Amino acid sequence: MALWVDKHRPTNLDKLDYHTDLSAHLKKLCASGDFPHMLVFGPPGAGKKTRVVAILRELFGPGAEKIKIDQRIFETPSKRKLELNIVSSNYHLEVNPSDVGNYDRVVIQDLLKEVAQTQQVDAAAQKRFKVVVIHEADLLTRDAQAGLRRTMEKYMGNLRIIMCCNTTSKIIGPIQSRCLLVRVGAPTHSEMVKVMHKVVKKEHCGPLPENFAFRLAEESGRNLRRALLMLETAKVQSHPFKEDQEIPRMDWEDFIRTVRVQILKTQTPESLQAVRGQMYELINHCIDPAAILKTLAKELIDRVEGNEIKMKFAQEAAFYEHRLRTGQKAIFHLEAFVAKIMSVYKRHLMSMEM
Amino acid sequence: MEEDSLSDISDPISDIESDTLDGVIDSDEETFARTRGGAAKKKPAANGSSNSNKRGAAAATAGTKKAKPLKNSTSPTGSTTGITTSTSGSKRKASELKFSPLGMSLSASESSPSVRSSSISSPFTGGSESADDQWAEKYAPRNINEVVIHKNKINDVREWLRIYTNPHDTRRDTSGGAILVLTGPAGSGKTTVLQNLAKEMGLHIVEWINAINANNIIQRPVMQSLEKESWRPASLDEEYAPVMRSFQEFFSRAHRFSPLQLSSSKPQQTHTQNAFGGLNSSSPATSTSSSSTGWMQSPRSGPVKKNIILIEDLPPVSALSSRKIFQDTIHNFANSRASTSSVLVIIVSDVFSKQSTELQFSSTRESSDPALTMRTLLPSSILGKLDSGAKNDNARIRQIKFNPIAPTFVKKALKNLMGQEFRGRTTYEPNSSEIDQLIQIHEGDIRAVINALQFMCYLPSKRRQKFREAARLLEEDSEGLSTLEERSLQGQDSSLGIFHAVAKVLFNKRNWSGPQEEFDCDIVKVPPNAWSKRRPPLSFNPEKDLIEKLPVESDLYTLMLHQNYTKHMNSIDECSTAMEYLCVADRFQSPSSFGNAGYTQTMQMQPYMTSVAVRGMLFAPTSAGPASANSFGGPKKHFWPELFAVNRTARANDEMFSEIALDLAGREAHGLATGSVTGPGFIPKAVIRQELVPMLHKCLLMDPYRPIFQRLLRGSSKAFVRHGAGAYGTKAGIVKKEFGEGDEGFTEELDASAEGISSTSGVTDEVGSSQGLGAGSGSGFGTGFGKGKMTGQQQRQEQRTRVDPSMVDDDPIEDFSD
Repeated sequence: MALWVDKHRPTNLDKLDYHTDLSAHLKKLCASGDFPHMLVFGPPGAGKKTRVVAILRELFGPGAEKIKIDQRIFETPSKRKLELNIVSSNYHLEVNPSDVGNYDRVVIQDLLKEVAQTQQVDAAAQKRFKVVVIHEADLLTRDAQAGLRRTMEKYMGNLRIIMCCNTTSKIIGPIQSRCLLVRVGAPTHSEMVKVMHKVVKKEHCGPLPENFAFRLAEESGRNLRRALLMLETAKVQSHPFKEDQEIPRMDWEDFIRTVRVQILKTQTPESLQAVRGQMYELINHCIDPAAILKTLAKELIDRVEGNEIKMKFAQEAAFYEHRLRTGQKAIFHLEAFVAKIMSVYKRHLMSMEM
Repeated sequence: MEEDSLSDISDPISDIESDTLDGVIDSDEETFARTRGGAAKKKPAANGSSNSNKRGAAAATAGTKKAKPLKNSTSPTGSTTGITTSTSGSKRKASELKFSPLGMSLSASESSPSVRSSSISSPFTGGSESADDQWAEKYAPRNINEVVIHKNKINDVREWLRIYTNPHDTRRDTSGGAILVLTGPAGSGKTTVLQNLAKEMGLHIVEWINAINANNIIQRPVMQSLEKESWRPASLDEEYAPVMRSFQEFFSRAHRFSPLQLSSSKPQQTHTQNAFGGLNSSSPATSTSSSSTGWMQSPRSGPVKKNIILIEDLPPVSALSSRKIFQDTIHNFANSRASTSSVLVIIVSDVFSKQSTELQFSSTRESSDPALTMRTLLPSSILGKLDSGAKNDNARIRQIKFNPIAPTFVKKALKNLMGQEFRGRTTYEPNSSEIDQLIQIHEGDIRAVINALQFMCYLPSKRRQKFREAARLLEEDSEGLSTLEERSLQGQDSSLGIFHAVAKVLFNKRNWSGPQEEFDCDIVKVPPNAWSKRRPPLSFNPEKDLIEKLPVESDLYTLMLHQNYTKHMNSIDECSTAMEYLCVADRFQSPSSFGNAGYTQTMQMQPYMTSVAVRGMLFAPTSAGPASANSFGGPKKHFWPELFAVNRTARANDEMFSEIALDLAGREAHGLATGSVTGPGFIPKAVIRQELVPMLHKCLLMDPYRPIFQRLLRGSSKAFVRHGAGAYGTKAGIVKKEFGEGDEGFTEELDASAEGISSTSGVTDEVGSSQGLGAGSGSGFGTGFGKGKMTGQQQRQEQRTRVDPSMVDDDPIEDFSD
């Protein structure tokens, strides 16, 4: 029993539902003796990880699916202990080094060295190398990336690295040039609908109205994982599916909607104070500040009239998101964004009246 | 005093540790002023330093004290020898003196209970003044009527002591050990009241004194051997035993045994032994006998009722482990029924707690040493009882708060003191305006006032003149006082209060009503097209008058500005400007904006950062004084930054999310080797938080009995998903706290939010409660989270101990498992 997302995840390259060209390429690549380092990138929910898992299976057979989860402890030069959960099989290892924040360099170096220095013991293994999968590679610090670069060269003999990330813009050039870049684009709406039908059929839970499926695909923002989660939730909420069934939405997004309402309703210092409280609440729930800003900006842009103000909002959002990423205290930048938007919007309203 | 030290020079025993003394001599008045606080508690060599280990320190102590009367001496070498000799001289005198009180006490025990030891009474009888250089000690109140604090406070303490030291009192709560916690700022008479009351009521005070302090003579006065016993490690082994172990031992001895009732046939022997104990208490050679007979018979002829165990000199409790021992010890005391032989009094000075509270707030890291406030020091069980018993005067565990001593009282005491000290000699006697000034500066800290007064009387006449001048200015203009030079002259900490510092910026003192032609800067005229940016001149210099004097880290200060600024802004544009500058300031701080810039560089940037933040905040309001025209209206209350509470909750939530990630990562399946699982592996954090958990939350709400949840999630995670992940808009988990109140409040607030339990009803917290902190706890995020967290811990425990899981989890869903 698992979530649909996991349960119906295609396990090998042949079963992938879309991007068949890419699958064919990957298959060829795995069959050839020379497997490169790989950098898989694409929007969330596009199927990067599914493809990585499929590649592993293609390379090593079903043994790659038998995974172990263990906690490893790393020690920084300053004697700080870091704990990190690692998923491993006999053939590969998955890490999420961004979990340890600024100390990811230590993890990367220690772990990769350790893996690289031991040869593949299983004589029956089809490949001589082990694979290390690095998730959220775009969150790696510069230091860690620099460390990675050296390791990639040095231990090419028995180590391959597959990195997953949303954007390549945060990966330093030297790493990009050492990897095969694989882009996994978001599925189209119709592809998503197709997948959803397949899942519903496998789950034997009645017909899925076309319209509802399409709305789900749209609402999820071409994020298949999200669409499937929503579909499952919708099934729990009301079954059988109806044509006009309400689409379950994320609470925090709804909450951001109320923030948007507040911003567009009154633009006063008190209102700003209230919004700050709401922002704190979102942060409390561990919602990524950048995601808050992005979602809020999208909401705002959708809700105002006039191209000029839309453009202005987008500009401010971009500006403050950049600041947010370079700054330290997220709340400052979120609040500054809200204050700026309020200020701009107020001026806009006044100019409309005149 | 001058004659005194001169006479000491002739003492033959000299050249002890002259290098130690050199350091002392180098220091001038300012140094002395700074060490005033420590010196106030020192009683020179009186507590027995024939022990060679202590020589250096003792000499240094005495040297410091001797140095000031000799300040007039022009030749440095002359003064050096003078001090050296005087030191040993005084030491010797002191050790002689040490014997005399004991001699007196012997007779005292036989004759009258009210006779004091001679070392204290001698100044008043015209005896030697060298033993009590510190006026604060010398003129300490001799009985409870001389203590200049409010009678009601004294009565509170007296009443409590009476109830709990009298075994026959019907009002007492006999369910366990009685604990009294005295809190209040330094110099508000906590210890004095207790000492004098104990004397009045014939109670023993058994005080814990840290061994390390005893060795280094950085210590409080050893209590008069008549009324008090100081427990110290007696043998070499004990001396080097871990302090906390000796603390426990001290405690068990102190409360288990009632004061030793020695037979009257051999009082002589007892006292002699004790005299040695008192003298050589920290000497490694002392036999254990002195400690075993450490419980001296009370000099009173009547029956001794009880011991007072006094903890004022805290054992080193900064480390978590030793604090645990401390708390356990106190907890055990409070709960043991057998401990009827004594009561425990803990004295916590607020100065101690205030500084560390600020420290606590300034550090954003969880692991850093939390403050030693009363709240963190005492075990939570005691705290709970403290709060619940706050209204009940007869509560077994009670806190009595002392306030700073009122200026009129201080003045009365000072008059009394000066009458005794000068006895008509007017040469050095300060005039009344000087005294007023001192009282005003030291804000109810009577010890500081007396010390400052004494110090002032030693000032060379020129300095005196300067001081008098300042005092005159004070009379003319009350603002004149707060100039820093004057404050530092008296050795008072010159930093601003944190509330003051915040208000100073937010209320934005400018000459708003003044002519608008004046600008912030005289050099560059503001061009007409930038007139929207012109502001009247500031009434203070932010860098010099504010940032230099911040009592907290500038980081925290910026946060406080951020927390409170909105109420002082008139329009959203102003808010936007203000935030803009705060953002820029924030980016200074972040290492990432400098590439590989490390901590050092961040530190270097800090002054600029604060400057930008403060000046930006000052620049933001465009029009008239924010105090006059403001949309919020009403008095402005300032709050501690919410961010700490938010961060704490977020961190705890983060932990829960990580656990869920672990739950979802995979599960065991048949046919796999042990430890192996199948599953998706780790899902990125963002996905868990922003997609998975919100959806799971909805599913759980709709259908909590779906088998999928049994398999996927642990009970704790399930509870978290159920309660925590949704529940937006309740504001629970965020607590606002007005500042300017007791320091304990802040800690409490944090605790409450960290535990997710809204039990802050004891604190006056209007904003918090109005936001549903108190009321909204039923369905709020806080509770759900608190529950989840709790069960999480249980779960972990359970994994270790392999208990049946269904016993631990009270979640109803669990009943349906498999």
